[in-house]
Amino acid sequence: MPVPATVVVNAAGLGSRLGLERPKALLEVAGRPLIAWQLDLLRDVADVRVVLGYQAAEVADVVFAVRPEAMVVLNHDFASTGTAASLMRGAMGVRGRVVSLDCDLIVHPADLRLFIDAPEPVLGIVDVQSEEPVYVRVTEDGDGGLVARDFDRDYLPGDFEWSGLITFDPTSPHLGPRRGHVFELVRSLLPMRAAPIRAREVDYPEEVEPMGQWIDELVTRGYFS
Amino acid sequence: MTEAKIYVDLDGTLTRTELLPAIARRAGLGEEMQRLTDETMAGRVPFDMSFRKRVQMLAAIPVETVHEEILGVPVHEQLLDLLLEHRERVVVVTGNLDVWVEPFFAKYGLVGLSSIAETEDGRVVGVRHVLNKSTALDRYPSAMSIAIGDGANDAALVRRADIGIAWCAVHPAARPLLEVADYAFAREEPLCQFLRQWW
Repeated sequence: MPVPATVVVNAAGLGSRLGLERPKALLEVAGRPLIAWQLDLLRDVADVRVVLGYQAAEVADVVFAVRPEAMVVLNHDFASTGTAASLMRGAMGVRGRVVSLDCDLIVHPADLRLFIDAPEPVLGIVDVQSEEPVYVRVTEDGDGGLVARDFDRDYLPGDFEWSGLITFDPTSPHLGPRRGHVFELVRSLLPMRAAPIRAREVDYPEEVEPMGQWIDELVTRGYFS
Repeated sequence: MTEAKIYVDLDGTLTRTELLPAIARRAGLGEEMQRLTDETMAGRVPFDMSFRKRVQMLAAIPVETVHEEILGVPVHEQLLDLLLEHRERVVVVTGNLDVWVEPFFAKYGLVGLSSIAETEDGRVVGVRHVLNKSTALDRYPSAMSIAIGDGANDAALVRRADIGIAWCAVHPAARPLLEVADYAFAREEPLCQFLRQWW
């Protein structure tokens, strides 16, 4: 059995593109705050750390109500540091692998499981669907699998979209700068296996309803407790 | 490994309940005291003012009665056991009164800092000095400091420590504390697992 990874949920940000007066983690979708759905999907993971920043106390109340054993990591510099800083704060002291998961990305539980149990680093990709995504350039590994070669802001045919989901070794000496985005942090770990995942993200108001439908679908299939 | 010291709050952090409301319940003053304590821990009433008022409310209670209560109050055993493994590296930092909490320190052989009572004929008549908790770091300096507290009055200490921990097991997370803490926990097991990195 592989040793399960530590999961770091990044919920520090403002969610400013949604135009709400509260953090995205507290966005009500299908009757519950987004962070509550996320933690429900992680109920079998022993080591879950939630990184909070904006309105941390309000989010912490929900986190501890749903998951009292969680570790809350605070990043008070969330507005000036990128998501990489939050992730590395959350990963502090971890000797095994870390799964980085953004709070606003609800991943199909079966796909998420593969990242938690992954013996090697692996990076989650989705079909291109967002407005200004980071693209992942891939090649085939000859075995039917995909290998991520690079990240790019410009699209080339065959590119996938970076999902934000990744399993990696936080003690790797090859990690990049910690003040920017997660993809900049992990870029020099490439090439790395790339795995397509079924997932929905919510960045803009028009994505709230599809997220609700996605969660309803997962509820119907019995994935939530 | 750098030798860390842990600076830990008493009421609601080492103990599972706040001591003053527990004492007040004995005297039939429970409701008013609980309300005032909750308001204070959340940071809506200044600690200094509230503490003096709460001590006045309890002044008529004999010190021995308070001692009985304090020695019988349930503790967070897992956390306390961990701390007692290196008791010489622990400082209990409490706003509570010296004459009330000393038996607790003595029972576990722990060093403690507290507020200082004004006494007359063995009775508490007031508060001579309210402890500024962050001074614990000056009075017991360390190469690496870890502070654990649950209330707004722990914020200055938690802010100044190298690692500041908000303890959310007894109350919901105190707002001012979450603004300055590095980590928050609501259960002993993950907290102790975390502290093991330095213990």
